[in-house]
Amino acid sequence: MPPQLPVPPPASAIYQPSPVYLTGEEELRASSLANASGLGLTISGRILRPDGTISPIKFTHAPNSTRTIATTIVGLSEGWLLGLTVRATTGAPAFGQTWVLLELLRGGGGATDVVQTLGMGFVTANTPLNWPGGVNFLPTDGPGHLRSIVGTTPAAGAEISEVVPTGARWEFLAFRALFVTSAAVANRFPSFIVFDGSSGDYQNGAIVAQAASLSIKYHLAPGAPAPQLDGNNDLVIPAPVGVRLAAGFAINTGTANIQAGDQWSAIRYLVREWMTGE
Amino acid sequence: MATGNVVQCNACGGIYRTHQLDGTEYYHACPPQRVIGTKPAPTPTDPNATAPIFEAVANRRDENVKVTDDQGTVAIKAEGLGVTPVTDPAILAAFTAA
Repeated sequence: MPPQLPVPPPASAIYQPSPVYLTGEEELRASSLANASGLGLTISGRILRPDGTISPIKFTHAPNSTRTIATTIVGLSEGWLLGLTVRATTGAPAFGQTWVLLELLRGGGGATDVVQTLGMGFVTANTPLNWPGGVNFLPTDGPGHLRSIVGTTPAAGAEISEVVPTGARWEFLAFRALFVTSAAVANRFPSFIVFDGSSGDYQNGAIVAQAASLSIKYHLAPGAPAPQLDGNNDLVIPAPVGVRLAAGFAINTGTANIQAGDQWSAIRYLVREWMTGE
Repeated sequence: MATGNVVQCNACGGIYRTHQLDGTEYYHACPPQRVIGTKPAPTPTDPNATAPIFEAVANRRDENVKVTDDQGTVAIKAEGLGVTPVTDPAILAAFTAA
């Protein structure tokens, strides 16, 4: 009778190739925040199954463009979760525009429990979020996303009002707008107001009047020393450095003695944006 | 890259581009008031000086979103009076160059 060969133990009993063993009852949830449209993410990974074979994971996820949470949930087979990676495969988001959270759930189909958070961070086409070993970032961490925004040109006689979008947090970096006065005789004094939704938190304005039939380009500049008008009719107005604005806050103008035919236009500003997930 | 359209708000008359050049969406919100006329300045230094007459903007539009249910459905906060696409080439050119 030939000697009996030993029965190999199951793979799960030999070694631990990963800190996460899946029972087959867990699901993977990918959640995202984004501020650009037309984006698509691909989540890829591998599972070492109890029979020693490696099973790939691959699915896509479409973030919302509105800074609101979008989620995709997929079932996972039993085995060792070896690794996961997420990157943008549709669209070309800049760093800071797309944030992803990966979690393990149990209880799919009904009430679900988050049993483990695997990782969170920003992704682009070339900078993935990976687990294990990735660095975690909250959506309000990091350098933010630089946005150069063309604002609303208000109707004649109306003020500028640029509102921080829902789910966003801005750091104000620069603002400029052209103010053209009508022939109506009056001395206008434009000012810029950082508005928290109920009252003005900060206001600073021109120290010289803008009379009738004039065009002056106003620049609100953090850290500028004092209001000054150059020979090109560009007026620089100082603002505080590092001002953060929450959703619903606004950058407004308030123009003393504004007239019905006066016109603000060519509004452009630079902000650093984070998404809050709120 | 989505460049969007240039539209005019029917409530406040503001003109804006719905998408920025970097692909982000722009959410317009009407200012609270506007000037509809002038009156003699109360303490004029110039006999022709005028002061503004303000009017609240009615049916203000606010395109910022709100979540409306547990499924994460979003809708804009206030439709206002809607928008009208801008077709004037001069205005469109100004927004391209802004």
